Amino acid sequence: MRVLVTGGANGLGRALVEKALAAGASVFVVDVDARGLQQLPSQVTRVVADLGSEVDVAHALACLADEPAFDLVLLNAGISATGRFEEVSLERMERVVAVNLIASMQLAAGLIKAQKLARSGRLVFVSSLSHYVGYPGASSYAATKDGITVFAKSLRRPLWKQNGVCVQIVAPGPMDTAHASEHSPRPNHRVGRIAPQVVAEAIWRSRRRFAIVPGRRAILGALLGRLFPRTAGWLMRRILFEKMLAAPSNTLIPLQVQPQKPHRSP
Amino acid sequence: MLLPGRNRISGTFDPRGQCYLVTGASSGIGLAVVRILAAKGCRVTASGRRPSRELPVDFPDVDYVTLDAKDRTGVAELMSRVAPCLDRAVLCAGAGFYRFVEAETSADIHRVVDVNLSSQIRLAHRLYIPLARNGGRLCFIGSAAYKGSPAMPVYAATKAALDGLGRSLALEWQGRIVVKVLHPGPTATGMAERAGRKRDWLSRVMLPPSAMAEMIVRSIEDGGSFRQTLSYSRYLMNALRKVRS
Repeated sequence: MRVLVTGGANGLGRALVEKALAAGASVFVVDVDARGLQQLPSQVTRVVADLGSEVDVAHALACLADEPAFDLVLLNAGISATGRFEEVSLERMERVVAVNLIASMQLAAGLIKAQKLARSGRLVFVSSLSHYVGYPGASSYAATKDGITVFAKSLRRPLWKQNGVCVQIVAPGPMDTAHASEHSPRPNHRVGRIAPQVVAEAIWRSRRRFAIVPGRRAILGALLGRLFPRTAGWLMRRILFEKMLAAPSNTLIPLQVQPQKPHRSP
Repeated sequence: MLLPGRNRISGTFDPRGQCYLVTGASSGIGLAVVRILAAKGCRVTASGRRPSRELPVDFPDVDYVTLDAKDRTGVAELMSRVAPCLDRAVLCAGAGFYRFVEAETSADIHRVVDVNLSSQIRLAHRLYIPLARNGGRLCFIGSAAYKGSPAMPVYAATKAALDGLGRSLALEWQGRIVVKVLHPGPTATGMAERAGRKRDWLSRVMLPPSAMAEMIVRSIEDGGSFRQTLSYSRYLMNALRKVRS
């Protein structure tokens, strides 16, 4: 079995890489974090690429060109930008759009065109619970996650018919990862956060359904968002946005990832 | 007497004399919106991709700025022309291709996202202050394809993203700016053909841009949900209402 994970050096991606390795799969990881990549087990094939940059996305696709087809592709690389919309810098929001939406669609289109998805394989996009409940305080992030979900929905039927490939999304709620905590109104408050390993397990197991919503809390949230969108929006404003405003130190997050020169190591 | 602006007695909104910004105004729905607003006597600042000399000869006499949605510096120029207080912004600029995912290229994906999402984010970011001053309204124009479409996955994704942006912004700006996302159904603007859609029976029954613009101008003032789909059902309802009155 062959697995491709973007953003596989940390968080959810890392958890899925470990799951795949434990199951004996051969794993290919694309990530911007060169140091994080080095810490992965030696049998992992890795490419350093900043998916916020057009050149690096092309480079990653070029590296994948020589690879045989994948049975499971998890397009997981994503970043967020939290704070009042009018105060978050435009550069940051454009980077969110580039990494979460543009790069994911470009990689998916590139993989499909190059027939890098094995028959009866799976193409999984990482969406967010925000697709169901909205996310005041991270409007650009919520936009990209809605976008990628509908992109997946649009691909689902044609890919299934033509290639037998199953397109899915995973919509986790707040996860217990460094990246998610950074954007939470209460970074050190870990209660109610789902472990990335649990989400990775759910992705591994759910092979057919379109939307993978891991954990009981996330399912409840998604249901609430579907049945009572206004109540869900009101709640999100109350429990997230207003708290975020009350914690001003957390509202502006600087760019953390410095673009690195892409290179490939075996 | 009916004063321009919000009529406190009846609660209705009179667009006369109000400041509007309309993007994507050089053709299609945007152009039709400008025509309606100009006829109503609004103060309109319009922007579009085409240079002024390529505008239709009967383009209404309003302030026009040439602005490609990709152009980052042009936004500053547009903002300097917009009145310090703005009542309504209608962001109509959009682009897309009608094709399956196999036919997409990285460059085109980038371009479509830039026009349909990134440039809308840039504008909304800058429009916050002029709109918030007046308790104005911001209206994104999406598409009925926002729920997904195998024949145009990238376009549908960008319109869904716009819908998501509007939903979260509406919650963030509650009480300061009303945010709306209006999703027009098939409209005979010529965009579908330019995007690569073959002419078929649907091309013949697409809604006229003027009727769509009328629905948009009216829906901006509606209360209720941030999201509205403007398509045949509403068009027919309006037509029925006209016949009855």
